[in-house]
Amino acid sequence: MIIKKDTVIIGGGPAGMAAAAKLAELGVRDIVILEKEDRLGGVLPQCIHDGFGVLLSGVSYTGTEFSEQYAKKVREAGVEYRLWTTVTSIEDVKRKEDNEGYPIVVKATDDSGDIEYRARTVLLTTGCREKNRGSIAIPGSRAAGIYTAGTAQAFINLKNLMPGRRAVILGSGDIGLIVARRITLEGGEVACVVERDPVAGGLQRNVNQCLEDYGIPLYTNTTVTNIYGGIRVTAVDIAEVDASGNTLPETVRTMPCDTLILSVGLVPSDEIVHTDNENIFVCGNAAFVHDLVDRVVENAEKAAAQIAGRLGAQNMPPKSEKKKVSDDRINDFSLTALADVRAKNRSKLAEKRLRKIERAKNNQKTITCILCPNSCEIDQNLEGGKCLKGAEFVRSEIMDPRRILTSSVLVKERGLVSVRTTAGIPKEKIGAAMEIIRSIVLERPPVFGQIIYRDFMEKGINLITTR
Amino acid sequence: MSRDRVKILIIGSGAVGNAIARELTQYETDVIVLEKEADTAFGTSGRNSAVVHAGFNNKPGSLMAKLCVQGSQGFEKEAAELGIAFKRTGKLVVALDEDGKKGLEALYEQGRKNGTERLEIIDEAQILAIDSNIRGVAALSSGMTAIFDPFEYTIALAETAVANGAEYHFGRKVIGIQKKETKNNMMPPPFLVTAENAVTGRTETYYADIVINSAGLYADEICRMVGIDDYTIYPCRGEYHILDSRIGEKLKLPVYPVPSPKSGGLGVHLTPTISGNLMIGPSAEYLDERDDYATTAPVMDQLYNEGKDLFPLLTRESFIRSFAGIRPKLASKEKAGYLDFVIEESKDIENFIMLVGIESPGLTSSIPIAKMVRDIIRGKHEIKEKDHVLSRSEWKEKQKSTKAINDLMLRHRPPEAQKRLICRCEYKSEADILNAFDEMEQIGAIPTVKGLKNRTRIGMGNCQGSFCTVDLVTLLAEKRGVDPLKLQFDSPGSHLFSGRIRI
Repeated sequence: MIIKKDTVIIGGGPAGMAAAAKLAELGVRDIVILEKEDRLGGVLPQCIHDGFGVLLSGVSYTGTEFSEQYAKKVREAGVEYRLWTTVTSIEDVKRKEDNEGYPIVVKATDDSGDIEYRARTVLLTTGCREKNRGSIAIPGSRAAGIYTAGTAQAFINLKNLMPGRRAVILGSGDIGLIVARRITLEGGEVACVVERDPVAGGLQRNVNQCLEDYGIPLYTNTTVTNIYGGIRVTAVDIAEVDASGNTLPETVRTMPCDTLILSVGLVPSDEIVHTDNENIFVCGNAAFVHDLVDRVVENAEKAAAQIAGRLGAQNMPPKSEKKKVSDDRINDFSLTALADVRAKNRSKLAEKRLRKIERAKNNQKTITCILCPNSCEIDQNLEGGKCLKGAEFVRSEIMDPRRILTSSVLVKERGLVSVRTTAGIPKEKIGAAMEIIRSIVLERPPVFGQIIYRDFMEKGINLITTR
Repeated sequence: MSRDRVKILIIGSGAVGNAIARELTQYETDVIVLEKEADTAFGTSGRNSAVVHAGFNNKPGSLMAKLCVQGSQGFEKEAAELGIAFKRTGKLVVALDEDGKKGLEALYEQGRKNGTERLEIIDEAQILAIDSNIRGVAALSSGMTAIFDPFEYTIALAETAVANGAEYHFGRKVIGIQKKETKNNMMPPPFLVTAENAVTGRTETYYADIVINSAGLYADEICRMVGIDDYTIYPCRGEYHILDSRIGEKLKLPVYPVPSPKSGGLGVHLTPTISGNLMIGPSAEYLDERDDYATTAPVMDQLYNEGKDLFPLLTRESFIRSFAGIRPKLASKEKAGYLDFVIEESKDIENFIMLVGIESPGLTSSIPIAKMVRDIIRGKHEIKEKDHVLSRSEWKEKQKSTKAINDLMLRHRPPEAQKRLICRCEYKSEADILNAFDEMEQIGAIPTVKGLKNRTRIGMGNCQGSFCTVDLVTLLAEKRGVDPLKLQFDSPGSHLFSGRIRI
């Protein structure tokens, strides 16, 4: 069976959901989202930590909560989506005269077999994938116990499975930092995080609240040079690297561990395209890897507007009054412009990295505000923040440091459900809070946002489900 | 556990052991295969360049030359019979300078003496006409060289053997062999073989009339168990990089340098794989230990640099994995080069058949080796050909119908209906994974993640398992009742998880 669509959106993660909702808003309704998992959300359902949506809304949601908001938008807009549906190819219709205005063939397969779409336009929102051991060529044993950070995160948060007892984390991308905290909170040990670069790859707020809060050392200018263990990892060697990237043999240290977690970067997952049709568009992390979901969403909404324009939609958007969360100034999301977009992004990233290294050099006594991804450095005079909250944060960080705690509780015979505190709890109470969270067993699956522990650690703060 | 006496016991489930088991099960006899690993093809058979060699690299008159040429010529027919992928891509041995050209002439001559067909020396323009991405001033073109999937091949051999009555016991490491005296002098006394069961930790015993030692890297140790100490295996490691399928498309056929006589291998070469990737390797490094499959930083750099000479498109960004294989060499580092295969019955220990030093071109030669072993056995034992032998495809059909009846009785959905893709790099569905799981069990293998990878290529694509591992673990738990905490990556003890976060 061949199904015709104005737009086929490939991937139901944040970019796909945001673009679909936007397209529907602009009057493009003959669309479908094809999603390979059994739910919308992409990677967000495994992101039970908070920090999502701060730039867009000023509120720090968990990944699961953020995902639910956009899934709701999709449902409310009446957009069709197909789950458990994997796209296997995107091609041009072979003979031009056969296309009847639908020039792209999208082939997919679901649980019952093959499906074929003919699309006027295609939006690729396939996200990105993690670089792995092979792509950075780490020498050593091929033992079990080597995971990418995202895979480790999925096992812990979705499958109730702990990858190991003592981990070394290579790379300080945000996922690696988040996973370091998660493993520590769950009773595992993170021996250290090592980073080849002079500065952390992830946001400074994640270095603070995921590593420093838990006393996990971050070794910069350092990498993993060997892996030991015949059957399961038993140790890794770490060594310093000089400015030109050579490892310094005299600095080699052996770190006993049973797990090596790799957080060494993400690459767009765009293998599926085998054409350069001008009616194919790419946005979100499939175009280039964004640091924040807020920017992915904005990027996707802009792409949706371009597609709507291409399709001649009626309700074209008025010039947006909304505050921009990105400064990327991308106007063309078509596949043909992609190389250009990526090149620009690469040079922007390189500049950003240099600024970060420069800042690290002039390191003064500052406190990083962790309230939003801007990660402002506030000095002793309470200055340096982009907004007034920075000074406030530093005052509380000195007097009464607090953290939102995110974790999971067990539902009897069902596995895990993610939870959070509704406000920051005193930092020193996190250990005690985890004790309670570990002991909770729910008899039946809770609903989204259900309070499962009232006045948790403190009056007025609740523990609620985030899924 | 104590077993009844069997006629033939094979040690080692690599390509050679399996080919012998397949050959011998075409006769009225009983065959047991003992393998120390959890599954077949976990050793050298699954860690190589995946090339069917044409036979011009080996010394004229050697078993290596003779069996390789036979294997190469017969491979098309065998592949069809086994139902496996096979592609005669041809191969180029490329000279990068004038000196190299002389080496090509010598190889050409050697190949002619060995009976290798379709050899030709070509010039630079002809190289470019074949594949414009290859660099070189002249080349030996070998039309007979082919590529295939050594996992698929080795597994197919085992399945055909099982189809015809062979019994495989995996996770059994042979620790001792004794020749038992029997009171009845009519027959030579049988062997008592002791093996350690890696799963239960217990010792098991087997009685056999004929023992076939195809233990690859450990063939010398097995020989020593019966008192033969004529052989030493020198493990020689070869490391490889595997490249992204997007660059894999760009090379049409294997490209080798002119081999140096001093090296333990054929030199670092580039090979397209049958599944569309590209491999560079292998290095040649003599080791002290035989199971050290680690990769090393200097060699990883060397492979990149040497590969780049032959194939300038090569980039580090396209690496997706590295791995190592180990050659079971009879030639020591000092001796260098190759010593011929040993395929014979021991002169001292009757009915002990030895296959020692089966390194490259062992995979290509495996079926001719099996026929040679059959002839050794038939030379002194009466064994009758079976009237009917099952092919692998007939057997699979049979297994499927048994399975379908089971599924029906248990009200399971048949796996064929489960088309949801688990692996999006290699397009593998639930059905593919579940079938592979069942296939592991059908030959008696201990289910492992690596066994599934070898059968389906799940986790071998560009994402290297970062997307599919979670789905794989979940699928096995839900549809086959595999406890994730007990799931092993490859060998016993290679567990994936340390526990649950909540219980």
